[in-house]
Amino acid sequence: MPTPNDITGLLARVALGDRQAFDLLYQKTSAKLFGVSLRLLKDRTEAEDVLQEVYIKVWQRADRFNQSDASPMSWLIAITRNHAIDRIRARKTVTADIEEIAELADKAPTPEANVIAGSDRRKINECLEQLEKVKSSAVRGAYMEGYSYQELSDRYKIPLNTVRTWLRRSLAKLKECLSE
Amino acid sequence: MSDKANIGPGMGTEGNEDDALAAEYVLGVLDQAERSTLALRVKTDTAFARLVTDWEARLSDLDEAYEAQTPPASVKVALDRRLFDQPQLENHNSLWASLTFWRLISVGAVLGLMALVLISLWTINQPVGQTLVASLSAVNRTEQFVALYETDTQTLRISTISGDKPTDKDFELWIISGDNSPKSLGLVGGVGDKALRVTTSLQSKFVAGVTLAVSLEPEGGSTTGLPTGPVIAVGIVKNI
Repeated sequence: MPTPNDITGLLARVALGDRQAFDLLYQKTSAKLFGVSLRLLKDRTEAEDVLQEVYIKVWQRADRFNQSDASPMSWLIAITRNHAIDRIRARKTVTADIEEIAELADKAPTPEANVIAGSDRRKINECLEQLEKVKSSAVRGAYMEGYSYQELSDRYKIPLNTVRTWLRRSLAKLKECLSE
Repeated sequence: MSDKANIGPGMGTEGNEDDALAAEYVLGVLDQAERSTLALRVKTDTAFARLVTDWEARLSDLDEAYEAQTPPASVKVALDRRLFDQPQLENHNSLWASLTFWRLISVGAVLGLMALVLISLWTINQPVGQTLVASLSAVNRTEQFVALYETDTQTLRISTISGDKPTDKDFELWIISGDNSPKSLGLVGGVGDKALRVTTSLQSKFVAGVTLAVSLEPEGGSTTGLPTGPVIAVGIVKNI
């Protein structure tokens, strides 16, 4: 993975309309962003569309990324997640396959992956582990797979409002734990 | 930063509805209607946008778990076509060396002829009475400017929408065309509109697609001919 400094520099050049920098940025970041888009949408055509939309936005709005405290990769992934989730929500029918959700929701990263990913990542995993298992997998499922409250409610057979209440509490706990 | 203390975890979930909404928005669990309402708030409500950014940072440590997947090459081809294959003359020093120009010609006799007329007008610096506009800003900066360029008077008017100039500094406006180094257009800022006379050599650079940027410089402007301070606002020039 390219270093944040590379990407920040490229974004700055892209903001100034530098096409070479744009090509390089695409080369360095598109695989990760396509991975994000595909994981959320689970449909190659849609994931490709979203990837295009994301880079169009990046070309037009790279000036919005300056020395904010976000890492450039997080910024790009946040844009990708937003586009992908908007597209999922815009689908006419909710096609939540319960078995598929159950299978994917348990895909917590292996301990080895955590070690590789470094201390921050360990921290969020530690904090998630302090939640009840069902709640941490709901947070992960929503973030990684784009599940809506409706899908989580179907999945756990809990009324939507109840899911919302306990997910909000879980997020507040997560925030507290991360700030320690 | 002081308001950040108020949304701390000690407040509990009921204590800050906005923080909970920002978390839900970033997590992605809300339905379409709620998402579009909040997307609008992100654009218009700085405090709320800040909460969203904080949650993005907080949850971004989960991003490692997304596995990279190389997209098919066709995506980049389609993307380039969507972004750069439009018949507009931008980011090129020499029209004759410009691929866009030749593509334009080949689009068809009518378009080609129109382009030729326009180009000949530009080349001999005759007014074509176009108005170009750019809105300049940057995330996490309060400064905002709007620039308006009239090709027939070669006058650039720039208004400061927001942002106070520090007393011992100046705001300097730059035009950046293609891979060329920035060229100074003069000092800006202060109250109300400011009109800048654009020098002959820079007039031809004012086309849709070039970038304008404002940097923070020592009083009197940069002495090196290039920006020396941070860029505080950027915008792309558009036709109106």
